[in-house]
Amino acid sequence: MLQPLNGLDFRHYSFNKGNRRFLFTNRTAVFRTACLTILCISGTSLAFAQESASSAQDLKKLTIEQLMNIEVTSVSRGPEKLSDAASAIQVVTGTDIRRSATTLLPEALRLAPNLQVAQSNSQDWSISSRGFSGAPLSNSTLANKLLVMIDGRSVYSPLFGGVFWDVQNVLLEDIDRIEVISGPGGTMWGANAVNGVINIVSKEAKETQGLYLSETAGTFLTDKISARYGSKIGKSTYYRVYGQHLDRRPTFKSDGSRNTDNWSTTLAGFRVDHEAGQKNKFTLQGDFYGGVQDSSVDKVNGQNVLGRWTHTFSETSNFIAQAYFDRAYRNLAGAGFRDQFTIYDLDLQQGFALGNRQNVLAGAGYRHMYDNTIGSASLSFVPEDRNLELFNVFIQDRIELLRNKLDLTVGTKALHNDYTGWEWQPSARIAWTPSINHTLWAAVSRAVRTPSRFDAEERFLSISNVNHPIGSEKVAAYELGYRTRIPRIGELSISTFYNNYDQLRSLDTTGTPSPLFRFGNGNSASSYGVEIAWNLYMLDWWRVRGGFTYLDEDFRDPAPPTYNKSYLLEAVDPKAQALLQSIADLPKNFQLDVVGRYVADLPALVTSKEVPAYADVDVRIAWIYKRFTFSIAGRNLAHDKHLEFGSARLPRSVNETITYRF
Amino acid sequence: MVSRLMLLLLLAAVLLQPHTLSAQTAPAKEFQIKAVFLFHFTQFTQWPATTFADANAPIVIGILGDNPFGAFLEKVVSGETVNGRSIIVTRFTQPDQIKTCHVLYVCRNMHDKLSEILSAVEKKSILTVGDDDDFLKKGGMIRFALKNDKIKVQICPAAVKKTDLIISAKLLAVAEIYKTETN
Repeated sequence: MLQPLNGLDFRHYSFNKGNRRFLFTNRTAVFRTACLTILCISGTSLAFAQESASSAQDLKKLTIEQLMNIEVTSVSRGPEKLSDAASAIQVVTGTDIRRSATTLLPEALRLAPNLQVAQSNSQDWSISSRGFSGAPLSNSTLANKLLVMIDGRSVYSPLFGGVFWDVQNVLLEDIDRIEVISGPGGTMWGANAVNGVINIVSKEAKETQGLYLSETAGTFLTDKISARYGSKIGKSTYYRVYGQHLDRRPTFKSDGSRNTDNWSTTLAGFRVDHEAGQKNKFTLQGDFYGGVQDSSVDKVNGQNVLGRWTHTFSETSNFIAQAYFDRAYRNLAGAGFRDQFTIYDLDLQQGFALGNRQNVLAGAGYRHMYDNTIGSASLSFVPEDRNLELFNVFIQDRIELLRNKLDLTVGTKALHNDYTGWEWQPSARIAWTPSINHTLWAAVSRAVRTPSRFDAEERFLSISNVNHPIGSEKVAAYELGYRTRIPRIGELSISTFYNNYDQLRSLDTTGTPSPLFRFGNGNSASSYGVEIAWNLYMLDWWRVRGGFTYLDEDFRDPAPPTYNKSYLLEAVDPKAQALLQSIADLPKNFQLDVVGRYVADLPALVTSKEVPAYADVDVRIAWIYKRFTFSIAGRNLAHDKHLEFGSARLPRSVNETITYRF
Repeated sequence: MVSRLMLLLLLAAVLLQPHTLSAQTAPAKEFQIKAVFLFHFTQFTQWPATTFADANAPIVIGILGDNPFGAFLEKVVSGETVNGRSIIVTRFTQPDQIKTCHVLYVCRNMHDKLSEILSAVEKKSILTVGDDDDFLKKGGMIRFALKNDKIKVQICPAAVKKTDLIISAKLLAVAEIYKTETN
């Protein structure tokens, strides 16, 4: 539950000598087009090559301080052992986010090629990985198989097992990286990490010193103002404070008129990092937010504070203690429903070496939650107020079977929850690194999704589970992947998976007129798929990253009393999707950044029509002048309005941004 | 729809192709800047006279491991003199090939041999520079750290003190000072 962890630190690229061949076969027509394009590109690249020839002289004129202030694309950032990234992990860096038309955290998640991100209205998104994106509901989506963390704080709501994305805002400028692990992460991370883990890591206060001011105005995001100031107290304490306000306009209905989902939100926060010698690090951080939605009828607000102490005993041994408080309040006045979730969490983690071939990571965590609801005719919980407890312990051992060649990681987590008691989440992972630039890995894991309040204690439309227990959903996952570093070019990874789901949530008929249905565990399914991702440094000034995913889900026919179409509530997923991000530094301090994406069609539901496949594009053009960055960004440019999830149509939009960094 | 998908795949195919082009162009900006830093380090360091064959012998920058600089480092140092000495660049692919040099830049792919390399050159009045996360911890003198997408120079004075090298106060003033756990 803590971040960042040994071995999960994603390792990027280092420049290595070696085979630079890349296989790609083309047929005639494709080939001709490709050749033409290459000719065009090589023409421009020659011009740039000449330009950089003179830059050796220019760079030499700069002082050491000036050199230390030039922003570079971090090609060798982070530790470099490829075998440590032996999972379906993809990383979106802060630079990737800043170099896109992204204005909000959920939009930034679109840049992770192994995530499915679909916007369902002005302030809500359906986000999942490897399927199970849930069905669109009026105020939220049912996606519930991801564990999402911001700086070690779990942000999925125990109310329904999903994330209220409208209140997960952070200052994008201060994000260091977003790690997205597709596939189960239950052993290490905990419940809900059935289909993936999103780990949002912000920069240390030391790295966000100085003033940052930014304003954005546009057609859909009408305005956004952000400010951050970072400074130092004494010799070893750094801090930052930030604030942000934004307003978004409503989306559109199919007849062209506007929905009422306009949205305003304000947030503020801080982070303090203190280093006591080389051995002890302390962090205290917090965020406070408030927002209004749906014609200012619905209100949300929340606060969180987190403290973390990291003690390093030696190179191979450390101890982390982390505690946080999180309160989230949601008043859906339109629906007559109110909820206040208060969470207290404590996590401890110890890493140590066992002999010279084994690294052990062990931990324990306790979470106390208090939920207070006020229900309406359409949605209520029984009991209205509830105390919940979650307790977990985990141990993981990484064994070096062959030095620098073969690693085996085995571990398990045991967790106890109030609905289903003890649950086990074991996993085994093997990574073979025949040479420094190639890693082949395989993993077998089991993960569970323990029931949320929505599954176990809701009265929702004609569904009620009052006095009817529900069990955990279970997955057995088999993964095989390959990751390679192409020297001087970048990195390419391929992951494949086969998942077998059992006891999935289902709608069961009760045999009585009221309630007509209750949730059961009557569904089972299997899924398989492929994820391909790349990050390539094409030229000194040009980088291209992206990916492609294919997914096939197969629900088995359930036995009565399970309603045979109830799987449609759980999985409304595109079979295929593709992402391409181009980041180019042009001469004269201009930047041209393009993101293109393709999402295959979504099936029709009882509650919504089919969503046709779409391809769309975002473009950002920026110019840097001294401490200012001026940019114009266009989002969803290919269509006047388009549908992604549910029934709200998103408009094409344009905005300008002026940023000042000092 | 299929045609759109084809178009995207085609675009991907096209974008994956031109890798051969980059071979001839300059290294990534990160390494251009690091090359210029290496040049500056020769200006801010004093070597004992005994490390040079004679008064006109050049300052030698050794690159151990892959060469991320291409020909850029040569371009930076060509025609430059420091205290009347020219600067030359030599390359070693393996640690046992290391010969006389004044600056030794250790590439990232040497991660697993770092302790061995650094202990071998420890008393030789060689200014050791590297990128590896553990570079200073394992006894290196100067490390390039990437922070906020900017390159920061970190120096471990304790490692320098073990040799006869003198690093100018000007460089120490702008660098981050790394303290070893023993002091």
